[in-house]
Amino acid sequence: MAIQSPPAINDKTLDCRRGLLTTAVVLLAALASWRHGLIHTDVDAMSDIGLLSVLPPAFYAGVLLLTFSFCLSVTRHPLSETNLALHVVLLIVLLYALPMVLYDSLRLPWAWKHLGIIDYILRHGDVDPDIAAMPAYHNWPGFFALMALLVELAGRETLMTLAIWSPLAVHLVLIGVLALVFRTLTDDRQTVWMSIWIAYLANWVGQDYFSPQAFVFPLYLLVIGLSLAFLKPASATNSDPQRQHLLAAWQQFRDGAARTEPAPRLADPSLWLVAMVLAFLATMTISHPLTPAAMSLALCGLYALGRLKSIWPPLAAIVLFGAWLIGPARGFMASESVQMSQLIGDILANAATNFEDLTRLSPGQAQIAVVSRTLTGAVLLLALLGGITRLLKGRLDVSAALLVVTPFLILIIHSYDGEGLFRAYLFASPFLAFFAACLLHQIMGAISRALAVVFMTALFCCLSLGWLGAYYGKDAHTRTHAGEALAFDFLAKTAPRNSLVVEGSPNYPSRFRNYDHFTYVSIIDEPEDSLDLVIGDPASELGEWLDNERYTATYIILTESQKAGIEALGRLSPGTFDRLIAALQQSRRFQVAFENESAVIFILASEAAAQ
Amino acid sequence: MNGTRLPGVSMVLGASVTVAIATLPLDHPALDTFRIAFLLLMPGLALARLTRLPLSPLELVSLTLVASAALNTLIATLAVYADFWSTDTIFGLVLATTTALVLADRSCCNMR
Repeated sequence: MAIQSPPAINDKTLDCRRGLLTTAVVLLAALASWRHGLIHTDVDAMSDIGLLSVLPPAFYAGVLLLTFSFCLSVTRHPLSETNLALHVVLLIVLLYALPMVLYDSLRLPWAWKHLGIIDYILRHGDVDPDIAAMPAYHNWPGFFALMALLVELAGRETLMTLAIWSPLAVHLVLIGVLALVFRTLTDDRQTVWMSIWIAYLANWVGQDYFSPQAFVFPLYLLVIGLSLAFLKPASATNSDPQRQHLLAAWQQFRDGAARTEPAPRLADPSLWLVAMVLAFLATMTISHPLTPAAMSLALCGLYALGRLKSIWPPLAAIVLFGAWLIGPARGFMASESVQMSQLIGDILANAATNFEDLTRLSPGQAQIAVVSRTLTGAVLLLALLGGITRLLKGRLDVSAALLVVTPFLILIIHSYDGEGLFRAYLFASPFLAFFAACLLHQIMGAISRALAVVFMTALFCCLSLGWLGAYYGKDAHTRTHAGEALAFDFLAKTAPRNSLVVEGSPNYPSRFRNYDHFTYVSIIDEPEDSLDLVIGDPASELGEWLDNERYTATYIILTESQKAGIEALGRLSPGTFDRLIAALQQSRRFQVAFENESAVIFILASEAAAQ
Repeated sequence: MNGTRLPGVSMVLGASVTVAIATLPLDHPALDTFRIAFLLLMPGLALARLTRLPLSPLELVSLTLVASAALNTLIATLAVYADFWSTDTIFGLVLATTTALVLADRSCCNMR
């Protein structure tokens, strides 16, 4: 019997293994450089332009190495998707894990408020839709209920860990969601992976923190991805040249695809797909007020343009959203109706509400605003050129173009407290990234691989730099400090119910425990004449505020982040906040109840004596 | 693109039974960890399996996690509004939902 020689290892397999090994080495080197850079980062030396000012060269070297390696991998034939996925995972770690490594506290003051709603659910076991403070969260409690459930199982001490690591988790989950969405738009895997890469660099608006909007964003994209992939008419495939006129697509949908579909059987998996999409729509509806509106618009648009074979997805989105508004959230909607009626139709005003006046900002913040706008402009320009290139190639990309436009229609209805434009950009950004990737794909086809790698590395590094500036540029006043959290915790644990808490501004870790026990007054948000009185004679004016029998006890809390935020946004001239603190410290009318390196809490001396 | 094979019915059922045992009123942190792992994975996995969607592994992982989160959110929010907030009750409902999905999956397989 002849001895058979072992089968020879396929050349492709060998290449693949070699490629993965090389990638692993390069990625580890990038990670090591990044980590080494962070060890030598002194966040307390941060200037007015945020984290960008203190990140050392080793950090940037890590990002550069990763970017270069990605560009090499994405231009290689055949593509290794595992290899590219590893690059994207590391990009997410390099960009989004910075606060977890560098800061001693949960980043962003507004994330702390969300802990307060979870704390409320854990204490009460329910929500109060008619509550005076932060009522919107009580009317859309889905995200908070889920987090309360997880925290109750894992222990209260895990809440902070959950909140700190949530941006990283959201972005990691998003990789697969984006992959699904992009593969419904193109058959080309190179474009899919470049779209994913650009989507992360284009998304600078910072809506990925521990919040309902970050939680529902993957749901929004997943519903779109599932709809485009599995609920489309039989005629709408990726490989279609899509040259037919929109009307023809519409007629085809009306006359053909919709009527030729066989009736589903009970065991048909498509019924479970319907159930899944309905569950996603319902989760969105109970978790966030804006996303279901954007979802309804997107699905209506897709249906109207013949990209969906059935009307049920947009109909379900509208019915669920409407039912929630006139059902559980009706009290909130009634209280908001006057303001909403004034905003409807004023699209320009709604879009411009939160645009900062650059002349009022500190010099560093003015630079950061320019960086953010430049990055947005660059992404829009790349997308526009990509769209034109595709059009010239005979591809309409109706779905992607529509999904860029529909989020901005939200601005017709509401400014969303000035954030409408940024939220619309968030929803549109993956599809802008897709068009930008299409442009790069065309360019890559026209030049040599070496040139393409150099060009793409340079472009992606520029986008990364812009992203770092835009995303972390406000961290000098939004990073928060552990000492501030300790100060509010002291207040939350010691102050009696029905206390008045006067704060310099809401820009500090607050409301994360027993938030419903207190009434909050922000000095900086007072009308101008009232603010002038406080600045003119802080001790006397604030003494009168605190000497109020309506409240069981009264406090003033002033912190480092409040000061940094007020000065960076040009709300008070530099030094004014320090003078206010000094005036209270020198006044006999006040006594310090709590003090550390980041915060100070004052009470009336008479109240302290009574206690 | 070829789809990714999902774990079979027996695996999902087996995990459900294991976790059902874990819901006994025993006080041990490991049981809570087990419950969390179940909540994060199993409902979504059962639903994703039912849909038989041709997904890549990466897409499948995301879909499973998001679907689990969605189903848990719906049940936890129901508990908040219907005033029966209790981790045991919520977990029981999630477990029941997952089991129903697994049974539906069996039924689908049999019908084929």
